[in-house]
Amino acid sequence: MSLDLVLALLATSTVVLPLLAFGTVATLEVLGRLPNDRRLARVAKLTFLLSTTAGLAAALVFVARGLEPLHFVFGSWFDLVPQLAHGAAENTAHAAHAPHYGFELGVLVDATSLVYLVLTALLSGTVGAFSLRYLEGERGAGRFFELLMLFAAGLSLLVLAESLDLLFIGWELVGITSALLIAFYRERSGPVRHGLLAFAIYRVCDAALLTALVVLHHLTGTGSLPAAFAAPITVGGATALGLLLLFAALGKSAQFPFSGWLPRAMEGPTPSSAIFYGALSVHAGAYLLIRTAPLWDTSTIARAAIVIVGATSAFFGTFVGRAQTDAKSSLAYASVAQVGLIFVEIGFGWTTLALVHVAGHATLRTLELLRAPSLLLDHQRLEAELGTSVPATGAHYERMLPTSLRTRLHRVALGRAGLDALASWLVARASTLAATGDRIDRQLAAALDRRPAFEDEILPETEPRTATRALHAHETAEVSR
Amino acid sequence: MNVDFLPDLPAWLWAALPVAALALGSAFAYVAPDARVARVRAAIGATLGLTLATFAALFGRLDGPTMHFHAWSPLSFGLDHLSAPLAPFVVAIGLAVVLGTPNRFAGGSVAAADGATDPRAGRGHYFARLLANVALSLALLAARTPLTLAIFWILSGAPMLAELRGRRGFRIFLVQHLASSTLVLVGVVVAKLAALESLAAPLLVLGIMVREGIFPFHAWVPRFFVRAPLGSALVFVQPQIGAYVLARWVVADPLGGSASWLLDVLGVVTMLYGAALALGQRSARRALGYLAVSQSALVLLGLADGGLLGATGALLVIVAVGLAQTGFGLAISATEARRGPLRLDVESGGFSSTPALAGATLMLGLASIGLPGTLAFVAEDLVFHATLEARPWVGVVMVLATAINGIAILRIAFRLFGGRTRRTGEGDLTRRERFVLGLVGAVLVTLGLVPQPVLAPTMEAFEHLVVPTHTSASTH
Repeated sequence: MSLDLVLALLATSTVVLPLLAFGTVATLEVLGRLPNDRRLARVAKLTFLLSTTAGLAAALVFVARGLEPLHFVFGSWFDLVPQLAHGAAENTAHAAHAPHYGFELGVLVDATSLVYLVLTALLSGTVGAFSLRYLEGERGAGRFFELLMLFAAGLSLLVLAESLDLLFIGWELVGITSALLIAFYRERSGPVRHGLLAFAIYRVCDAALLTALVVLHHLTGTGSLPAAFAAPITVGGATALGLLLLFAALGKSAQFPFSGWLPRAMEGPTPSSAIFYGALSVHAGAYLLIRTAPLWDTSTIARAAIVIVGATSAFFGTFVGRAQTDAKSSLAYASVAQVGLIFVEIGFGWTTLALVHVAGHATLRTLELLRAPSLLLDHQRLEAELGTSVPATGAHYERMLPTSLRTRLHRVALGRAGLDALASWLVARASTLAATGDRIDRQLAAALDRRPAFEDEILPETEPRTATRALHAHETAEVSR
Repeated sequence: MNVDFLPDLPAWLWAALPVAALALGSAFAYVAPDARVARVRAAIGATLGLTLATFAALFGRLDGPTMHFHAWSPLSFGLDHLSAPLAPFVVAIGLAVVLGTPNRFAGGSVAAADGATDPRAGRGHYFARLLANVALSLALLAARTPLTLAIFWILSGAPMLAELRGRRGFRIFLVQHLASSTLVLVGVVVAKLAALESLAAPLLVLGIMVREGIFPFHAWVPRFFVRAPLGSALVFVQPQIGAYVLARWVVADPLGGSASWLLDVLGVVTMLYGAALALGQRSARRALGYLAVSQSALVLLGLADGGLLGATGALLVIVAVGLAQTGFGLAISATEARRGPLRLDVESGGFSSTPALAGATLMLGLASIGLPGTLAFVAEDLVFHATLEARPWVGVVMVLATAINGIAILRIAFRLFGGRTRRTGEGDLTRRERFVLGLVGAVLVTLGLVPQPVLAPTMEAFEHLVVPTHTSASTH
């Protein structure tokens, strides 16, 4: 077996192992034979131990191979080659117009992807290991571990993907599993709404990634990253690609103006599940930009946009984060600020620095998120050791401002700089517009049906039972007519 | 593909056999003493129809001239490369609905709160009409001349009209059906007349737009979804017969000029409008109606391009999203059978009390918005690629509207099952429901992971039909 194949297989196993574990647990759950929580946690720990080992081994092989990036294609998932169009000579125009459409399954292993790969496996494993304490005896442990595995598999796939097409699949998996994890406590209204919010932001930003993917195909004739890197791209094309990819990255990385979902994502099943968003998937956007840098780095506009967005986010995250009153929201905004700085580094082309920043930030944030529930205990211990109260720190810049301005700014920061209010206003406008359309449709249909427009309206009672009863009476009357 | 052990049947018989099986099933269901027996008979008829249609698609005789709208001949009937891959799928939707309709609604009643019974419940007319609908859709697929097509188009509304007779929603369906039938019939006739030939394309496109609920002809669809039994609505709408007719016709005669431009603009508006209204809905059924509208616009836009990839993708979207939305609709119907009319403005709870029902709704919903690993992902990927390549702005709107559709579907699932559960004693999926929804999900996932067996024949179908006629017009 050649060293290339070994490296490719080792790297791929970080995708396949969690996927296998997911498949097994999901099948067992569907069959009603879900193992108990301890066994589930053991499966999770074993899976991530193996995939971390595989990731580390891959790194060793990578070093042994002389640090050369590996581009390895296993085969094609599906392939559409127009058969007839090739034959006839007069059809060449048509064949060129409808090129073959295929989907290659391959990996691109280099230093960047290996760092992310090991981080993903290691931190997902940490989540798995800590989760058992919180989840034992609770309902939904099976679901939690399934989502954990699928999340890790999606993230590893995103990291390893050889083509933007494959990366998109991992990207989507990370998105949907994140939304479902945020909404893990489905009995409570908050998590469900927040999960939907995160999903909505993801979906809108994913549309940009999908568009970028097609633009890439259009410009270079391929979705494969190494091939696209080699292809000449015009500055205009690079700008378009860069801006689209930046927009795609905004959602996952919770950058300005899409930061609102991150602090809301913290009501997850366990304190450690915040690691998913706070430490892992927020860096997915940064990874996307680092990975695709050769595609857009000739465009000054794209680079400037990345720097501006990153700097704005860093400022916004710091500004708003300082006024937060709970540990996890502060941490969330601190993440926004740090990832903003990482974006600035990427925009300036310092990708190695960005990578180091990512690794450091992810591990530090993991530690902080894990310790967050013990904040008071830690504080007490610190005070006991010091023998006095801990001196207040971190308000240096605030003190430089006049008091009146300080109060005003504090209010703005508490209101998250009006971003949420703006979003609510926009949603309200959109709903009004949609409601108008709906009313017109109803009236039009009613006119054609010669029936009142709102006869099928569900009555706006607050108590569903009453509504059901009223409707029941309505329906019975209708039926007996 | 012809196989030696099969008798060399004429082409029309290959198409007529599954239609006959469905018609027989329908007739037997009609005279059934009660709904339970009717369901069994209808299921047998549909299974037989599905087997025969699959057999015809795989081994049947599919040759024959392509239908051309300008050169009509008298009646002709038979499957060809374009209709054959769709035939089993149309029957499969019917079978899924026959098996998946909750017992409460087996009499054809719409959602009513506890205890309300439809006076017609207990007879098998609902299942008989479902199957008749499927049979007519299949016959429409097999229509090989414009006149045959127009005739079956007109007939295809009959079972639905019978179902809705004496009920709210009858009139609007009648208006819709009369309008679209007239337009198609006149379009087909006009195509023959040299003087008015240029009118044929706009008339046909208009007829198709009415049936598919393209803006500004969309208002009937959400109301239809509220008023008709959900199963019947799914069987009528999801096979997207209008889109098929467009495909049929684009194959013979690519749209050009004003018709193509009109379809682009209205299709884009419809996609966005349907998605936005589905997202803002308070009633689950209306939301399903708007989702269907948005989806049919996606298919029409994919087809209108006339390119090989777009058309293949659009046809796959019909299959993948049609099947997924049917499953999703059946899961909603099952929820409705337990709760009465469903509202989306409050969270109703149920994730933990009815986990299988909630899980199935969520999974089938995700399958219909192109979750990776399901067939819809591959199909939509193809359509997006083709459309963005050929008509970037149409493609961008398409991608955006699909994103909104996804949010709308997750919202439906979260609103229906998220939050605190207030009801008690709500039953989870029955074995029959579990079987149907599981099967639909399994088919979508299997084909999503291994799409090549569906992709290749669909593409081949278009190649057989598109390439020879299309080359002259494809120099856009």
